[in-house]
Amino acid sequence: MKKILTIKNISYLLTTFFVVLNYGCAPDEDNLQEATFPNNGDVFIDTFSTGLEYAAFGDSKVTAFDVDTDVVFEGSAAMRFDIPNTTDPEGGYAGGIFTTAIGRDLTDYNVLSFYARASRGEIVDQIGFGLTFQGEVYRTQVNNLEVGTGWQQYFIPIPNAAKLTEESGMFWYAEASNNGESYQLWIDEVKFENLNTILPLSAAILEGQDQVTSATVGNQVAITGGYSTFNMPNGIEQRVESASAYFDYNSTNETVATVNDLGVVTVNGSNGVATITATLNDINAQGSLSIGMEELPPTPNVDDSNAAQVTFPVGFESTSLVYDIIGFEGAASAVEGNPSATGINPTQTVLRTTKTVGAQFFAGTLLNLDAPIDFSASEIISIKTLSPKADIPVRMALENQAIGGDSQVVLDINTTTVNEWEELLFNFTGQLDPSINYDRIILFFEFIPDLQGDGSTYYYDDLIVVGSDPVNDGGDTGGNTGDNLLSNGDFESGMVDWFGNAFNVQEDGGNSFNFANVMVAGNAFDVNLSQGLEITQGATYTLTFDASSDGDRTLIAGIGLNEAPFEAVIETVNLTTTTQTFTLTLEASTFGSSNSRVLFDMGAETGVVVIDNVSLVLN
Amino acid sequence: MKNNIIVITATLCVLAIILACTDDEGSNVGLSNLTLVFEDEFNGEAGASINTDNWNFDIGTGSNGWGNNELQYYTDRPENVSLDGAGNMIITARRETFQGSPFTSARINTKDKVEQQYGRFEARIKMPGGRGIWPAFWMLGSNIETQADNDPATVQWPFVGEIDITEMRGQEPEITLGSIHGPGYSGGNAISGSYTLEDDRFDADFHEYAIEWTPTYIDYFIDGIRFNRIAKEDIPQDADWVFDDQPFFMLLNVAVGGNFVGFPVDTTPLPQQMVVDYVRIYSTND
Repeated sequence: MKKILTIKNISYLLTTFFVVLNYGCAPDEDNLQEATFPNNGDVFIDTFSTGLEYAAFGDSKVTAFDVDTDVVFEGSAAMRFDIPNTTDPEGGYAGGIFTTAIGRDLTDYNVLSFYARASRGEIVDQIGFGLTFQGEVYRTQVNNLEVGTGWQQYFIPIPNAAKLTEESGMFWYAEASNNGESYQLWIDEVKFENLNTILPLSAAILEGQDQVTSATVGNQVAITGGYSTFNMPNGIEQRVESASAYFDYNSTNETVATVNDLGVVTVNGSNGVATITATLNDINAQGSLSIGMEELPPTPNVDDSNAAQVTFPVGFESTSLVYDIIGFEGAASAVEGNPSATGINPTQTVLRTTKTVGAQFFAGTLLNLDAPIDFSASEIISIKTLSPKADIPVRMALENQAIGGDSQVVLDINTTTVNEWEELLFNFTGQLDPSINYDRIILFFEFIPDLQGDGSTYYYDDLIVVGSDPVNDGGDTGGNTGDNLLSNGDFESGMVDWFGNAFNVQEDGGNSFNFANVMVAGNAFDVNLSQGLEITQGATYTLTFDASSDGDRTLIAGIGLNEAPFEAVIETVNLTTTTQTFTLTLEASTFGSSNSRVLFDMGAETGVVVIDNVSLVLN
Repeated sequence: MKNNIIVITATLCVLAIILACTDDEGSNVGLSNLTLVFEDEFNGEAGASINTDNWNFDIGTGSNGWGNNELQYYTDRPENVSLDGAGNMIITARRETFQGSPFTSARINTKDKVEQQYGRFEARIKMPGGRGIWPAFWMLGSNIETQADNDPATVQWPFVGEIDITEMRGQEPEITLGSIHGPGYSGGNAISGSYTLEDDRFDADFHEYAIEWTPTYIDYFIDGIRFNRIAKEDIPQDADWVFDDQPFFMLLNVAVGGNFVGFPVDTTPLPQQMVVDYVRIYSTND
């Protein structure tokens, strides 16, 4: 929304009066009572309610609003908005705010209601409340409101009225004509009400997504994308855009991140994960923000003395490899003996970088790798550092050598110890571009802008990717495919991996499944669906699948050899028209071969056999 | 079709005055001497199936959407019907493609298991809501012909009789309807009465829905308050009162779409749940 420049109907009298009152009576802090504000719910009935002011958005057509005494829903007057042509040189849309100088207590209400009609059917872009000159802490709106040519009542539920103890934003709108041509919009009987006919359904932050970020200590991240949904009196679900301040927040780990009432998250630490969640009234909001990383065990010493090339992990222990090190902007760098082979780093050789007196604050040391860093398991890099100063930022930057600075990602982590080896973790989760090969790593000690080098000498060692990065995958990989020994068990990949004359993948409504219709009964194995895999003799497997039919019939399922003598362990299950999930425990006690299979034999009876979501797991 | 409650009320009041005013509409006065003969409190573990000693499942789409162009596929999956572990049975209507249908839900009945003629039939229910959602607690004559046959012992709908203790259009969540269907007064011509909540809706909380069925009338109750009576003389002239011939069985279901309710829209909030605390039947000792 653009700046508000034009003000109409300002109540100068009220402002003056308020100032005088403030001068005349200094509050006695000992007896200060909590201020209470008027709880008037009327906004515009037949005229502006007490204290209401209107201001148009500065770049809108500021003359669009007027009070109309001819076209009204009820009473003597309604609000009329002359929505301009979108090419109107005075402004291509209409929009503005209705506010009160003194906030109102709206905690007794749960909805803003009004009647509206238009000179032609139109979709109004934005309409709501909670927008003021001072801010939009409780900005609330419905987008794309359908308005017809007949009067109809509309409702904008208050997402969490308990928060609105002093709200000045009574009503606001912003509307550009859909087809570009001007039309008229009338709104009447605007008031806050308390109705039991509007039921809360759901709430969400971050548009309902579970997000992961690796924010740096000290950073702030604003939670956005809040909305709530309601079951309206006509049985329709209505989405209401709901400001972050309506929600109540929780952090699972305040040493990593805290969150304030406005939904602003502050990152306090880097070891551990904080998940930020929210509730709206008593509804758990969908969506979350996870910050930080799981606590990791201490990283062992990196021994690369026998490495064939310089790549991660790097321990600077090789006597045959050439470590391509470049100190720049006054950082003298070299592989040297460990000056303090104690504590967590007793290894022989480490990298020294001396930030010479007068060096640029961005003096640092780069290391070019022979092969890019493998981030497939995790995007967290551990290094060990030895610093004469605690609480100074160490900046790590990753680059591709060919691209250079344009590919750079950086993180800052503070040292915590003095002249003692410590491990620093740099969590690049969410920052890395998967299309870029990171084959250069750069370290800057005491990376404080405009602070020149003072001759301090720093050491670092043991560069390694650590952790399984549980945060990185958002905690949900979308299924247990890792355990399933079968491929395409859900048939979503189509006609692959399975075989047999019953192999026939069909799709319905986005779900794929195997469909066979046995026309003539015969031997059970005459109609078969199989997938080959290795079965280990003596092992026990769990076979799980969904199946149904067009009537009552049986199905044979199991595991067996895919070669003579075709030994198998099978069970017969009873299918009905309702999909059932079958779980069979099968022990391969008497056979085992790399040429084995999961099998479904269905030729013994006629009728449909639908099979889906097949998994075989080794117990 | 609303019957003319005012006329009935007037008639009853005349009667009532004579009979010391024992059945004013709007009062909680109903049958006395009731004996509880059946109850299902739906106690059990969360996700457990309902008691099949009492209930049958209707599966599939019936004929022509159960005769009403309904859109759902009824299943017996726990996703659609199960206990909630807190003493309730939940029927859940979902928006999901299943066996070619765009929605799933459940419909259960007590046919051949729990049947009774006359008495009080009640259930405490938190209804589902939403445009195109059609929940019902209702009854059918036990000898209904479910498949065309020449068996004189079975009778086609509507000759078999139907008593709707409550049904609701999800887009009018403040209104409950109670109706009877029989030959000459079925479908859109059913004899109905309705009750409308003021500034409230039936999907916001539990309410107790009940009828009291006697040889001469059927009384409709909401939360113990009688709001309508449909008596023998209320059906069309020459039509048959088909509620004296046989016991009836009960049904609970949530339909999605259909002639009565219209179709759901993209903004119909789903899933929707019918939460049933209990179902009880009382017999009269008289």
